[in-house]
Amino acid sequence: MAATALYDRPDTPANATVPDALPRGVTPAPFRLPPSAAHLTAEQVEELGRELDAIREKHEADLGEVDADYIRRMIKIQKGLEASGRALLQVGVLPPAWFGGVAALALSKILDNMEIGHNVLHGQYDWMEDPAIHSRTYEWDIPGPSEQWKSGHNVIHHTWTNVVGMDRDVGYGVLRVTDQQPWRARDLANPITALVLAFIFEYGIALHGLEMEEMLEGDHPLEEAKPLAAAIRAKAGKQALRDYVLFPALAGPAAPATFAGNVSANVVRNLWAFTVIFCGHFPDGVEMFTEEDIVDETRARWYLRQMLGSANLTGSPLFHLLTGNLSHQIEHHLFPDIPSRRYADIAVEVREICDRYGIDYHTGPIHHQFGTVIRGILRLSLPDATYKRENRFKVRKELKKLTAPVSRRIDELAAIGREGRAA
Amino acid sequence: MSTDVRPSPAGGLRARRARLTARVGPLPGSVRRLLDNRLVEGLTTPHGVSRYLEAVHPLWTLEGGRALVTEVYRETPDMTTITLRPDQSWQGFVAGQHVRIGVQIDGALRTRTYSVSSSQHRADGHLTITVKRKEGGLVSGHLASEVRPGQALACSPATGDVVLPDPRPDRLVLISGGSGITPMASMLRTLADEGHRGRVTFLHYARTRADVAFAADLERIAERMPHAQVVIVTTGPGERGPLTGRFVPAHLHNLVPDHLEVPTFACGPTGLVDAVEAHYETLGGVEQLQVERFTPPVLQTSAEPGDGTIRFATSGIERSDDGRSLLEQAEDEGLAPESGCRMGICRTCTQHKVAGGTVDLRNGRRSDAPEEQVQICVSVAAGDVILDL
Ligand code: FES
Repeated sequence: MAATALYDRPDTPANATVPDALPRGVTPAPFRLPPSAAHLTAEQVEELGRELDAIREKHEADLGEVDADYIRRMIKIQKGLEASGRALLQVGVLPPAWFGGVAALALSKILDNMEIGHNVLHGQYDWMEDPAIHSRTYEWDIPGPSEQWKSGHNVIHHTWTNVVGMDRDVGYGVLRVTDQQPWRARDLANPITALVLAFIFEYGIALHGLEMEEMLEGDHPLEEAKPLAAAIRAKAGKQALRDYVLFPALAGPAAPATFAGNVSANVVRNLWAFTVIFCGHFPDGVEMFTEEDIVDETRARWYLRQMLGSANLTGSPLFHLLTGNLSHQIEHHLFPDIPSRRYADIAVEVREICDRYGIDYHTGPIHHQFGTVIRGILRLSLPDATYKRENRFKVRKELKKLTAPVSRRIDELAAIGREGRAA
Repeated sequence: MSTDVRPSPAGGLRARRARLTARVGPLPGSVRRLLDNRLVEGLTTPHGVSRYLEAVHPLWTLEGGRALVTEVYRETPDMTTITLRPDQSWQGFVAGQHVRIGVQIDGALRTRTYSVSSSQHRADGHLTITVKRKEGGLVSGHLASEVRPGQALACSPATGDVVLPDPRPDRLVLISGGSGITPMASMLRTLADEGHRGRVTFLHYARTRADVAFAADLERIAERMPHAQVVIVTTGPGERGPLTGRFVPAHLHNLVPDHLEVPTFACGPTGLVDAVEAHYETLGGVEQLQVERFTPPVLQTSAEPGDGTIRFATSGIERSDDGRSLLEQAEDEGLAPESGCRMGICRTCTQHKVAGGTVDLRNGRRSDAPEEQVQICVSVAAGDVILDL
């Protein structure tokens, strides 16, 4: 049985090539499953989709007081950490206060961005109908306006996850993170770009909303970007004013220490967010997709793509919290609007499903996963290094096959020669 | 006759904190003015100072819109009066107006409209709402039995046009049924506090006397006023009294023979209000009559998509449902609601459903309660539905 697309989507190759309703008697083109799921039949994929839908439904029906209390508690903790961090940094000339202040403020920002902001902006708590915790109205402590981030992240990245050429988060337009991106000379700078990006990650995310790459390629008129840029400037300006002018000024003689403390807290958060986020889609084994892969994609195949295209991190509950539960990237991509505190439980079920269907479940400790990310970034800075190595191997094998009769002939001739000499 | 619903247990950290909270009011104006400036805004961006202050006390926000429960009284087995101390955003009200009250139930904020039942002139600036527990009513049931002093509720400014006229008319007829008594009680209490000397006739319909919230209180008030009269008409079977049974014009003819020339307010279930309205219409006194119906218009919910009506309330468009997603049908009408993924994951398309039934296509889950958010890209109508679009 060949499945047909459930939902129409705007501006997609799927829509361009597949009519909504095929004429009677015409079977839609068979779709291509990713190699690691090629052993599944279309019906099995749909069954997998139904099982995942059931998990979603179960948790949706169960949303309630505990989830509401959880996010409210997180917000309270974050506010407390922020207030104490900033207070300590006001007297940042004393080294213990400075270090404590940086730690508290960095933690506060990590919570604000990862466990609160990211999840709230996904609409995980929209059902609470609380305007202070609603994806429509929430703003977080990063330079980019949440409005822009939501369209780039929730809509584009989560719909077109890992489809090279459609998901703008594949390398964020500045990095080469997969063989499927053609090598360009600028990729030689891959490692340096990544390092710089890690330090200024918050600004990278903000600028990402501008779609600069598309602009340079002429896909996007400059005019459209102007209001976006103005919004970024306004918000980033306010953030910078707060961290780098107002709080240091309030500290009087301790201003340099406060300033340095705020810079450090922001950088710590940036490095951490970069690390966690890059472990989500770019470690070894995570699959990338082409635009043909998603022609006529059903909801079930969308699920499959989310699973194959994401990777988890193992760790303690505290670790999961500090990653904003993006350590459960697979579950997050399957159910982006289910409260993150449920991902750990969902992970058990998803893993069992993966085992049963024989699908890779990418996971590992952060040092290992991030190690493969770094290796990838280094490797991909050079033109198709892997292909070459594989090809060299293949070429040698092919050559051997080709030359086998000749060498056999030579061996025979040599043997004859030896025999002749002996005779 | 009123009793405290459930006195908080003496011990318990939660209870003690709730009692403490209940004693603290909103931020004084001077503190608010001090905090409401560009510097504080700059220091607390992007969240704003209120998000930090509310962590300390729920009424401490600059924007306001909340009220603290200070007292909970059970008037009758199914009617509960909640006294609220509003924050600074409260601009007062005019007797007859209502407020939107939001309460968190199972983590979700649920909002319903209630008439204010207290006098406009209450010295402490508090207000009361009186909630009738409805059969299967999620919010009314919760307000009636779960709400405790010290808890914060969302509370909108008062709205509504059916209000006590100013200047006060010499004569007034008030007719109510069921929970329609609440705005009438507010009117009578307000007039009493003003020392009103005009003639006021208040006719209330209830099954039995025991079903009438603040019956004794209203009668006491009427006694204090020189020309006020409270008449309780019981409609239950076997009830006795001067007047019984559902509204008939004779009730009015007896009490106020020239009522067609007297400003009249009617509030309550549709049946009662319709009957009063028909009476004033046929005898030509309709310009004196102001009504408010407490039962919402009947919406047909249906199991099958495709046989109801979709109303886009903001744009005033109505169409018969064709079974496709609400998003597609809105777009067909030339509306441009925001959308993104169109497959239910990004939530860009979430819209406020005023009332009616919808079904989520992904899981077949129904949403029948009023005032809910729906993702219109994956939702279809189940019968009639009204969207804020
Ligand atoms: S458009 Fe994305 S959830 Fe409806």
